[in-house]
Amino acid sequence: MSRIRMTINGKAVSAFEGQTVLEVCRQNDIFVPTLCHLDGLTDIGACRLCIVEIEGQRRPVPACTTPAEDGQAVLTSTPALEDLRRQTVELIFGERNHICPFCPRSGNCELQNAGYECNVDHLRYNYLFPTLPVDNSHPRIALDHNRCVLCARCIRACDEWIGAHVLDFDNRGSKSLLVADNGIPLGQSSCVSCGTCVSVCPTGALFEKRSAHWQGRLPKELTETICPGCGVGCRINASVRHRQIGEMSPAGGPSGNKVLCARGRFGLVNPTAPRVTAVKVKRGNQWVERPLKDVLAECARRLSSAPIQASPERVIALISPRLPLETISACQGFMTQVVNSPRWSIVDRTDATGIKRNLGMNGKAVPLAGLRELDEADMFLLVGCNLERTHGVIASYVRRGVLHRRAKLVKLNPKHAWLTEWTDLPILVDRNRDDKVLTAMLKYLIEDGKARLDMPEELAQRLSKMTDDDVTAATGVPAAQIREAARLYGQAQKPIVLCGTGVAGIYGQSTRGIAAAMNLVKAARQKTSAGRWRLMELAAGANTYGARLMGDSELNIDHLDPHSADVAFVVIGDDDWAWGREWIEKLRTISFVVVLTARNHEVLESAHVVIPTASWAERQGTYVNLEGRVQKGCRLMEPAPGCIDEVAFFEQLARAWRGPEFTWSPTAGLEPVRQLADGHMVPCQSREEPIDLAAIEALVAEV
Amino acid sequence: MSRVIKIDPVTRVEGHGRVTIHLDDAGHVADARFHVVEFRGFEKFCEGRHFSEMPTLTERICGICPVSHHLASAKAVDAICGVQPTPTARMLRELMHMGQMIQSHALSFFHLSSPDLLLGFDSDPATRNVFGLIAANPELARKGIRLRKYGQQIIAAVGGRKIHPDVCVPGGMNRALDPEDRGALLAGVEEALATTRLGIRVILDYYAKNEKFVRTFASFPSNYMSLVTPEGNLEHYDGLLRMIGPDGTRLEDFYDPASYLSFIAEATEDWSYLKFPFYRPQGYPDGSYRVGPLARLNACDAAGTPEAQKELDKFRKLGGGKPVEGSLYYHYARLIEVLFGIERVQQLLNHPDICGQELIAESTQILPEGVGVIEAPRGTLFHHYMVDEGGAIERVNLIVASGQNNAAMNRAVTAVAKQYVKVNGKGLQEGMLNKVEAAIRCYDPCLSCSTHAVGQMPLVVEMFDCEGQLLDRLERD
Amino acid sequence: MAKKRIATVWLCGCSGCHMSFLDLDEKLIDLAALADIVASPVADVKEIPECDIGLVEGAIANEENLHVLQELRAKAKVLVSLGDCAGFGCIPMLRNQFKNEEVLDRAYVLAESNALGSVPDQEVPALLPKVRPIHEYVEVDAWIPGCPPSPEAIWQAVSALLTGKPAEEPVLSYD
Repeated sequence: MSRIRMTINGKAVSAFEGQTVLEVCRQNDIFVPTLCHLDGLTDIGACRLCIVEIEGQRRPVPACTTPAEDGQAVLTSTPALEDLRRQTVELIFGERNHICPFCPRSGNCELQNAGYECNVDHLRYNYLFPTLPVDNSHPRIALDHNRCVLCARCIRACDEWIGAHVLDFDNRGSKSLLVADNGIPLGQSSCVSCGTCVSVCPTGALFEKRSAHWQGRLPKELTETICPGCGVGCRINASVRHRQIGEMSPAGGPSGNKVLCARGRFGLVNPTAPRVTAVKVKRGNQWVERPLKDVLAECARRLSSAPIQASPERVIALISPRLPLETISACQGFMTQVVNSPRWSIVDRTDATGIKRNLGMNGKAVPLAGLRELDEADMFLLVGCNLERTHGVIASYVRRGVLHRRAKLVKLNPKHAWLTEWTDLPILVDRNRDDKVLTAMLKYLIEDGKARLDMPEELAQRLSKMTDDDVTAATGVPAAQIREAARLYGQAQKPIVLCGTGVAGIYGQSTRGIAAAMNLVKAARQKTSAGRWRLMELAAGANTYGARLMGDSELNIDHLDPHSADVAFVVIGDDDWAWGREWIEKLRTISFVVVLTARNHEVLESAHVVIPTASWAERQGTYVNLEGRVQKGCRLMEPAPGCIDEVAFFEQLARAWRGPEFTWSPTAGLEPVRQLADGHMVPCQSREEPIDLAAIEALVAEV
Repeated sequence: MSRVIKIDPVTRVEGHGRVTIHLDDAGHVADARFHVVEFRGFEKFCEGRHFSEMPTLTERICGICPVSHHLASAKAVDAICGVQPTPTARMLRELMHMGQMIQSHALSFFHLSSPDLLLGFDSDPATRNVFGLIAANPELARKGIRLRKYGQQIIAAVGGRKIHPDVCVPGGMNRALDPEDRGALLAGVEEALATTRLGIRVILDYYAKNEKFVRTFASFPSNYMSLVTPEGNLEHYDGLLRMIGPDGTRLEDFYDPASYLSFIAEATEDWSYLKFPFYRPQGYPDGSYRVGPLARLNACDAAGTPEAQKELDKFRKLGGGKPVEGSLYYHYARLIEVLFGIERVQQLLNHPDICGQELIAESTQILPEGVGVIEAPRGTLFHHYMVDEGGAIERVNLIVASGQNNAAMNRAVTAVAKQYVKVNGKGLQEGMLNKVEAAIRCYDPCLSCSTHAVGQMPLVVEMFDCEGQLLDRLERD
Repeated sequence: MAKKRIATVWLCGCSGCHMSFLDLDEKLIDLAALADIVASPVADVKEIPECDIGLVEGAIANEENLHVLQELRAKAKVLVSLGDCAGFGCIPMLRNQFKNEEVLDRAYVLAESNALGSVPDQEVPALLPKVRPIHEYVEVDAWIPGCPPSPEAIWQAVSALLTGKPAEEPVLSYD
């Protein structure tokens, strides 16, 4: 990029070729009013507020779409420009029914601010008084066409950031109307409900029904924190006032992304389950309030029972992976240091032990791809993914890639539901056989010379001898499809494999799916320049990775034999993860179940003691996202009265049971991240992990 | 030959109106009509909008009592969401409402009505206003101004600003009370009480000096309607409806306000934009009723605060066991309510949770309709919204306080006209016409509210014969 | 110096601007020393006399609004638009999306509580086809936007007009 020199308002400035005049102005702190411009979106020069005069040009030009050129002399403010801008603002006001006093965005509206900047105290033009509807069909978002300025920011964000392209204009000129899909109500459209359109709307045309009026005319108080919804760990700006969370907006991150998903935007703020407010003990079918010290004594008595003294692994702990690492560490530390039971696990139905074995994680994160690699991928291989439901933000990355970079999309799923028109190859596969499809892809890649794998000669022989019919029989998928998938993968420069929560093995049967995927990536040498394998394992919890850093846990929650436990600690926070009946029943057979929770939860049916704890918004702490990035979340508000901190609970319980002199470290589990600042990655292991031959054997054994 | 006298505009009432006095062949008053001449159309243009916008939109019905509309609307949207505001939010709403009661009643008494009482109905119209009062009795004027200011301060402290606050949201409030504001408001209680006591002395002194006039001025029997607490006490923010007859019998008691349509209906007359509500079982016009301070004090069993209770006991004696009927007693009732309002303000401010932070009760429900009913300064106010499943307003029905006094105002005007308007070819005395206006001012009609629907409170005197031909027109200047 | 004469009128609006004017509180007493309020909804004069400053609250919605506006324009040396309704049309303008008959029918015929009667049409001013801000009918000299304008904004403008000193750059507000 070559450097250019130009003047703005007589001041000499330098810029890079390729920048727009507006960018150069902003860089030099020269104010130019804008309405349709938004950083990160393609400029379209629609609103004409950013007009500037350029020497030698007959007419003013919009700064946002005019490239900066060497020697340019730009004026941003002249009496003629000021008058033109004022006229423009007046025309925008008069074109629709902009009535500030009852608009939820009043006081925080870019059109209103433009009016103030341009000194508009009345309109010199007649109003058009168009009759325009309000679309209230979406459960969360209202669209009031009366307040739309046709800036197309929502259209561009929905397209460029979310890759959904739900919104567009119908008709033209002042008759343009923002429409969803082909002009159907927003609530019935293909809208993914991420709320990005609301965040980018400069006026009150798009507003959030629930919290639009919560701010009143008061300035926004934003607190940045981490979304606990899934492993992506988006940074969010929460607008909080008086213990009430209003609007959630993306704070940019973890890798600079400007989007949230429906869960992050709307799902965290309105939990319907009531709070648990006191320490209670179940007596018959009744919950009775008890002082904490009595409950601690009772817990200590249970832990001192002869069977537990004899075999401490009769104590188990189940921990939500949506809690801060500090909380998980205290619970894990209590189990491993105080109780001496290795049987603790996070509860996101991923088999952490199996994954560790296969991905070679042993106290250290495996070097896998991150969100940035998603944005350069030219092929997505989705295995067992239901991205829209589980990882909405990753879904946006994939849609963007497919829509804008024409990335190929291959899905290995039991169902073909998502992005149906844009999927190059949907492979419908039984959940337990996706590992075999992946290994068959590997076979074809090796045959095409696109992959190389060191394996015992005998195994290599058997693999290469498999016929297409053998492959079809072993996988339940036509071999031609697998060949095509292998071709698309082999052809791509930067293909990425996404293993969702539906990968065979993650649901407890085995760990072959993730192993087969890893084999494929390794054999194809698909590694970034930073040495990260182009594979992502989509952890369900915000701290699933963080919890795995704490070392081995011996509890496979899907294989729990309830008769092998006498005491269970269940630490939930306000995780709304659905446990399922089977689980509740399993827990019911355990004789003493202590549940630490912020809200009423189905698991309380099986509990004997309930301890009230803080909600997500009332916590602060460390999260490690699915990239292995350490992030610190702030609390949005003080804990509700009566809440008991889990760390303090386990410390007090250790004292009550083992005596005051017993020492242990509730923060030991934080060791791997202790030295890491916010935003840093947990160091990766660089050793070459062995190929998982069992996964290959599983396929050839079918012949 | 019948004639019509027009008084246009009626000034010093908070709104747009006009009075016509219809004379019979003998030149005697046959009928008098109070016309409301403004219309805005809120019922129609709210349609299609999301219900959460209604509290900030509908408060623009009236700049005098925006808080009343804001709250009635908030209650209606609470009902749509199927939630009750949190206890602190409920107290803040009542606190703001009491601020509204104080400022509106102070405005009505000190700024608008006291010039009549203190300067005289027959004094020079050019100075018969609050500015004349400032000149004649600057101390009283200043005190009255400061009392209104106190009410406005309460509104600003709770709602963020004095006029058109935007603080109520479905399920609660969007801002907490600052402890500093709480302190400042508590510090103002004593002065406000003193001014109100002074106002009460002024009005009682006026009553004593003009006993016969006051007793007979626009006095007539009627029904009265008001909200009362579940115990039957004076209530403004919440409660149940009670309708009493002219002798005090309870026609309806502890009626759920949400079911108002089953016993209230409205009639329209082709000569006024203000509708005429009536008690359904008695029909129109027999079922006309009065609302507002007089009705509330007639309907309640007790005040519920100590000093207001003492005044209420004195007030009751005026009726001799029956409801108090004289229109001029509205002023006294109004000041008793100010007393009550300040006492409630003190109680609410001293509540330990008034500065609490739990302000919004959330809900994900949308119910098909919601009714919000409140005692606005001028009387019972109904907001009734129907929404679709997305929360878009489908229909809006509003019954405003002043409307329910519409029939009473017409009766009051007729009564006064019959008593004082003598047309015998010598023209009209300015002070006499002003008595007609004063009768209306007793009701403190907020015509801004009344004409939420498409407003000016204008007085012209016109004479019409029985065929409706204009014979003479006299405008006041 | 002779006291200046101020007239205020309230057209199609909510009276909030007049209330904000009254929110000058004790400054009203200072104002009374500087000027006479010669016509106002809060005073008793029925006809608009000659005046130095005319303040208009409210939009133009019916024939009477228009008549009063034109009369004030004729009598006032300086005409000031007070608030959003007079200056922008604002909330009354929402009516413009509908036909007048629809709006009137909804209020006087279709309303849930309506039992008797019809749309008022006698001795009430007829509605104009569209609600418009005042400067679409008469020349306006200054605008004070706001819903309502703050007492400070009103005082700033009115005191500048009364004293003849130039007003400071106004702080605009549309809500």
